[in-house]
Amino acid sequence: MIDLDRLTYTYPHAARPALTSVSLHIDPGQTVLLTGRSGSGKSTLLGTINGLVPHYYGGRFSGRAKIAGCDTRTHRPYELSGIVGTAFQEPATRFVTRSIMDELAFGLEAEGLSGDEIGRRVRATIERLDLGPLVHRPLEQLSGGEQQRVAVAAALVREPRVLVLDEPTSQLDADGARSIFDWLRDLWRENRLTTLISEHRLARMLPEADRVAALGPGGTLDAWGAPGDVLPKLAYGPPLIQAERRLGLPTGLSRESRERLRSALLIIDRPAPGVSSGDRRLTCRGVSFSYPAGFALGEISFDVRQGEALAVLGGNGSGKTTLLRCLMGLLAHQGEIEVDGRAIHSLPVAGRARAVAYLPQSPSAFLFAETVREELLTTLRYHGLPPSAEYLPDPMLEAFSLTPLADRYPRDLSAGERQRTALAAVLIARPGVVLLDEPTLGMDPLSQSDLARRIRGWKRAGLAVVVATHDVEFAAAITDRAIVLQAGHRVADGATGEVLFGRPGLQTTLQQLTGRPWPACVDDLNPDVGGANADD
Amino acid sequence: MLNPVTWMVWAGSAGCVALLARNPFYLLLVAAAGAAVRWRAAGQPPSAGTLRLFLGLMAFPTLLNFVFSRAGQTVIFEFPLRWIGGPYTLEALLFGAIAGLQLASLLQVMMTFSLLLTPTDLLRRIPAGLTPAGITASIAMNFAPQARRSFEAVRESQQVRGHSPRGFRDLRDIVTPLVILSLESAMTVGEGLATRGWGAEGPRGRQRVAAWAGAGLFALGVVTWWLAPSLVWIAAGVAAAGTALLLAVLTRGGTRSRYRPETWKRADTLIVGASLGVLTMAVVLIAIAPALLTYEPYPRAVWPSFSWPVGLGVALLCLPAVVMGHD
Repeated sequence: MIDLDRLTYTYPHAARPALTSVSLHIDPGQTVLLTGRSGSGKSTLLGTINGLVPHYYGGRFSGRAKIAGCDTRTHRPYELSGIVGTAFQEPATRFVTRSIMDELAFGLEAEGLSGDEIGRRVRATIERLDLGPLVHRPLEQLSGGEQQRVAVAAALVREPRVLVLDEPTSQLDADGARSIFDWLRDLWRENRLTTLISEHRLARMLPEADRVAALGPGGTLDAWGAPGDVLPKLAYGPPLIQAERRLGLPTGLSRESRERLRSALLIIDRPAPGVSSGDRRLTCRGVSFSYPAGFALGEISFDVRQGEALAVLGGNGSGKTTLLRCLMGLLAHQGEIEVDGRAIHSLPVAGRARAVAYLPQSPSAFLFAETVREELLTTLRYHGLPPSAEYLPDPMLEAFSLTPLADRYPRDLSAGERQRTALAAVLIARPGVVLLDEPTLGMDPLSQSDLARRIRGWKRAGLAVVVATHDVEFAAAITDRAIVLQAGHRVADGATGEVLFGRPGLQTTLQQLTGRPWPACVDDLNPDVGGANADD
Repeated sequence: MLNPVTWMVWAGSAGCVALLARNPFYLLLVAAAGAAVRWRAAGQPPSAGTLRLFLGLMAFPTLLNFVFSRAGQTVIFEFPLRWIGGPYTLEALLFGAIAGLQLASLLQVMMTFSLLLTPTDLLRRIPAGLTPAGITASIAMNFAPQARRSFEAVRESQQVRGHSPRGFRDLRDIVTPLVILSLESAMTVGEGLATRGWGAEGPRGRQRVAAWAGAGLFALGVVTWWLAPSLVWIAAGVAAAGTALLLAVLTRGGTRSRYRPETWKRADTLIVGASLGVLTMAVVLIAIAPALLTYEPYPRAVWPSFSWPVGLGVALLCLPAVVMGHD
């Protein structure tokens, strides 16, 4: 179904190829998981399947890509669109209409189907993906996760033979991701749909993957084969493989491997839980907020102490982002929020930004300076702080491993590098509280480990950290406590491992394997992880 | 729900009147019609922000013309200085203000148009061979909401870094990100359209020759009209033949269909009839009695004239606000 033959592609004005001599043969009905670090060429490879590479972007293209017998050199994206359905990252920027019905019907109209047939397929898709409650809302008013569901639905509604999904569940909560994969599983079974999925959360996708393709630096195909053969060779992997490595067990994905790991985990003694005794840095008392369109948050209260990290969990649209925006003083909320004993709304804009660092979901609205170094200087300029011994950009660049990128244009960097740049830009003013909204979105597993290591370093330095996330593995790895929001209300509060274990939809891979709250994550097996660079 | 063609005809007519008329009374009527239709459609009166935008749009050309134009006989003040001494005239002020009013009324019409029509309504009517035009139209229709979201995101991200932009000095901090985000948005919208099957190969072989012939005939008609205005009917015929040939080639082979068939109601007929009537009136007036539709403050400003029949004609553009919801 998909034949790539020595495919090499270089973007216009780029010095190095994004893909280098990639050869692959994918049979009809196979599901292929595409993995690799940020910037390794995964999205570019997906772009060659739907024809955007090279027709839309230009650049130098050599080798050959044949999709269902169509050579992408002679078939343009609109000609391939009947064969290949595509769902991108950040779908909101690619919607071409303003309503769900129009968005689903758009590709079918382009295909020239009859009105009755379009109506039948649209209705079936809405029912299958449970989009009914959203149908009457404009696309721009949907949450990120809801928009992602619509994008996947729009790719599937044409019943393509090949499906290309670029991180299709990155913004989805566990239930949303499950409904997408349930549907995909039906399609795979019924229609022998050939699928390429780029996904950083390997555990979600592995049970469905027939093959794994791992891209390395420069877009080379480093590994290709069955998941059980490829994953043990990678420097990263799903939690089960990481746990096996941590315990020194042979790595594998077979039933025997899982059983061996389970037995090993069950005999480990749980250490006594640590109690944070630092001063309160962030206090939230009875915080409520409503948008003009309706209620968002009700009576939320908690404290975060020095050196403590709190996870804010909950499904799409549960109020996590709204809570973080209230904590940053961006919304006129009811209730009290204090940072180091001072009410957040009593502080001027610059004062808030020096007390609290906030990184929103997508840092793309942050980065407009000419270079990475200039981004850091921009923050200092906003604060009226001249670069001094306390506020020098170079140590901050070093701490975030950005020194080699200091003179690069930030918007050309990979997702992980962009996020490190944005983090350095908000942390250079040395705030005492850090708020992170879905920090692992679009981040490869190694970059996630790197971020987790930095957060542990901040905790040791006495900062208070609040992380809103769908990523339960990440929450378990770095936070001490968790609250769960549901429809704007707090429905659970406690130690992270216990909270996750208490809600079946939120259990981590290790919790599901052992049926116990501890160990919740790989890092529970070695609490000193990341210590070498903990002072970042 | 009125037919999209109705809104295209209404917006086209109102936009043409705003461009042709330079009489402040008729321009105000066009702006009021646009605002009334938008108010009725959105269910909300114009916001203070919109009014500020229009005042800013009017103030800029007013000040620009007042400061740089030296024409006009009614001197307001003058300084004994070279270059910047003046004279500053009432006529220059009025001329600039009318240009600003023209811009504001045109913008009001376009804002109403983009509220009432979706990019899909426009894309469905663009011939399959005009992919770039479709992408451009889609980006243009999405520009205002996208720019608003980008502006809010940029402003918030600057607050997060301790910055509250104020005044002209900080304009660059807002404008640069908006330009970058708009360009990125244009790229991604194009990606979305291409991968969803929107697009087609341009004409080839004989069809390409026919397309060029159509474009050539259209150009010939325009040039003939320009060089020999007395041959207007011949020029119009040639241009129309060229347009028809071009459209026939570009729409050939299109396979697009409609999900929800659009209906045509009596209200559509009423609005299209009224809009075309207003457009015809404006074109005829500009051709035979331009003074009835325009206002020229130079060389000495006088009070602009107002013709009740013309005013009532332009006021017909308010018709959608009356018949919407009764269709």
